[in-house]
Amino acid sequence: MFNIGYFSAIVSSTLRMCAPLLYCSLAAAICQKAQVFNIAMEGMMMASAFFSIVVNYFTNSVWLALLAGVAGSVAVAMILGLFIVKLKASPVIVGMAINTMMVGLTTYLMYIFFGTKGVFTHPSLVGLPKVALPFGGVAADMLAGLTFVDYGAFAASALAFVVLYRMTVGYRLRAIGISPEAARSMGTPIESYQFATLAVSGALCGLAGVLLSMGSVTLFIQNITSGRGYIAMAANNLGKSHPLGVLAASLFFGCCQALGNFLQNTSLKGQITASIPYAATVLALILFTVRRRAARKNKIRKVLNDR
Amino acid sequence: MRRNSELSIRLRRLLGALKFPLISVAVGLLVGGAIIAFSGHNGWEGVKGLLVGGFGSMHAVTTTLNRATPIIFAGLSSALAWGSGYASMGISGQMILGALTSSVVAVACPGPAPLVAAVSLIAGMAAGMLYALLAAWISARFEASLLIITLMLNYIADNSASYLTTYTFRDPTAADRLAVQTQKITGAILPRLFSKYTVHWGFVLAVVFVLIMLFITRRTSFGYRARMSGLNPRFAEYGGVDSLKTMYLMMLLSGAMAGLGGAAEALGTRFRYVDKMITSPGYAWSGITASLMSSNHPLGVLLSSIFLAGLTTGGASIELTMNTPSEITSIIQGVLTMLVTAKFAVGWFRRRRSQRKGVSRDV
Repeated sequence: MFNIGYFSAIVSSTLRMCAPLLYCSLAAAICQKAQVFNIAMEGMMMASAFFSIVVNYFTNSVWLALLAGVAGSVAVAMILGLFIVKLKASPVIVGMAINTMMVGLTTYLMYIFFGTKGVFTHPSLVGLPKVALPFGGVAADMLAGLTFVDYGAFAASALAFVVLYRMTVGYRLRAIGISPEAARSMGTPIESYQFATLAVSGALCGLAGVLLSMGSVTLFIQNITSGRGYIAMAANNLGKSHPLGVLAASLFFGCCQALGNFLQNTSLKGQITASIPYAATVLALILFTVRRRAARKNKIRKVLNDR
Repeated sequence: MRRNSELSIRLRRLLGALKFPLISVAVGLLVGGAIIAFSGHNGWEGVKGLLVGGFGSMHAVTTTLNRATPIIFAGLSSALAWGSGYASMGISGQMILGALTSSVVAVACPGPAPLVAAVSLIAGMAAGMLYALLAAWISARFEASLLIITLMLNYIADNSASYLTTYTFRDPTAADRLAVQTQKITGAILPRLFSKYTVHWGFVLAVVFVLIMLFITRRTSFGYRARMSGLNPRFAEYGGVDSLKTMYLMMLLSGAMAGLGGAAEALGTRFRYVDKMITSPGYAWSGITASLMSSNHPLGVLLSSIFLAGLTTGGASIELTMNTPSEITSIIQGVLTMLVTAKFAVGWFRRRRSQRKGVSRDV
């Protein structure tokens, strides 16, 4: 039953599913630290996935495509920033409006540019280059098909940890999240910090979007993100907005998606397996609270016993 | 004399309330025109086509009213939840289950047609309520974000409905073998208002519920409590409002409206459940937009829903005549929504301007 080839295939698929989620949940985490509620990650990813494919089609350059994707995503992030940081509009509504608008806009533009509304792919499109591994064997199978942008996600998580917890900028940023008044009295320009955070989160979501449209497959489908931005919000919740916690949560959700994709080939129907990541999110949120409550109870009991 | 001034105050207040939605609509249409122009067509003709296509003839108006029916229900559902301060995104999932349940019941249940229709509408409503209750329970019991839970439950509802329609309730007699849909409802339907046009009794039902909502929110203490807990939850709690109870109640009512909206769409327009019939037209999001545009006022929900439905009808019409994708509608709707929520923006600009002038004024 247990087969090492099967296992390494699942690991590689988990890593590939995890990377875009990780970028997004890091984006959610830093936004939460800076007290900006960012739910437009879905729209940012979609913008990036679309514009990278457009530029890819017209220039056939991976680098320009990558750049265009990130730029598109950052532009969306700036629009979000204008509305929620400057104009103090409701972040939930603006975020959702951006998300639905981007579905419409990308579909509209897809029809204008490529004359189709469903799926666009073309033989001349170039995918992100896969990283060649210097070793072979099972480990190589596990890392098969990963591009450098995939590795970047894990590096970004480490980088986020260093910046947030080991650098002055990070301390200031976290101070905003803990107490905006205190941060302001220290002279931290809160709005600039929030804008900068949004820009970084836009860049992170941009990388995620590029991975979706140019990673393991090179194409653009209507609604390509399919709720990953929302799952990333849940991952941020579970990981308590800590870069390493978020990494663990994203790996978990990545694993759920990978399992969902694998079970598609079995007798389970597609609609059931497609629900797995979403159901897992709900269950994880429930179990998280149950465990936290149990831990709290144990702590109280321990304190009482020690007396 | 006194009466006259009272009237003018009311009129001014009405104009004040309409100002931001109207500005947003104008800017939204402007952006829409610009995008149509960008795609190589005449932007002015495009916007004109949108409006004429949505409202220009008896056929257009009735089609728009037909399309507005589920949006009004979704808008009421959203006004109930958001107006009392609960960020529920679950309307889509509740509508899906309402539509599926009612179309299954309408086919399976024996009896005289009007009675069966009523029973299936209630069944759809109950399905929406139960699903909303599930979301509210998970969120309250496990301190999970209602927003995330409802979003996830939407995907689960959509996939489950798709599964059930494909494997359990699929119409075996369908001419198109690929069509994922349940059996056609023959008797127990919501009949058309005029035999020539698609608008059906579901629209009348929606208007009735708008009036009921108007009465509840403005004339009963329950509505007052709910509105207060939306405006200021801590004050409401201090004033003796049980916030947990209010949340369950509002979510139940919101689910009821959503479920009924799905059921009305199934019984009045499609006469069956068709896979993705709720999600692909984006009824739930249009409803949320409608309730935002009108600050959750029931009559405003009615008008904005009809307007948004008109844009959709117009979008479909210019797709045919001008070959511009109908997605233009969702772009305009997005712009509109963002501008409506940013109404504080105007206050911000005004404050800044007065600061520059050196005048301090509370806006």
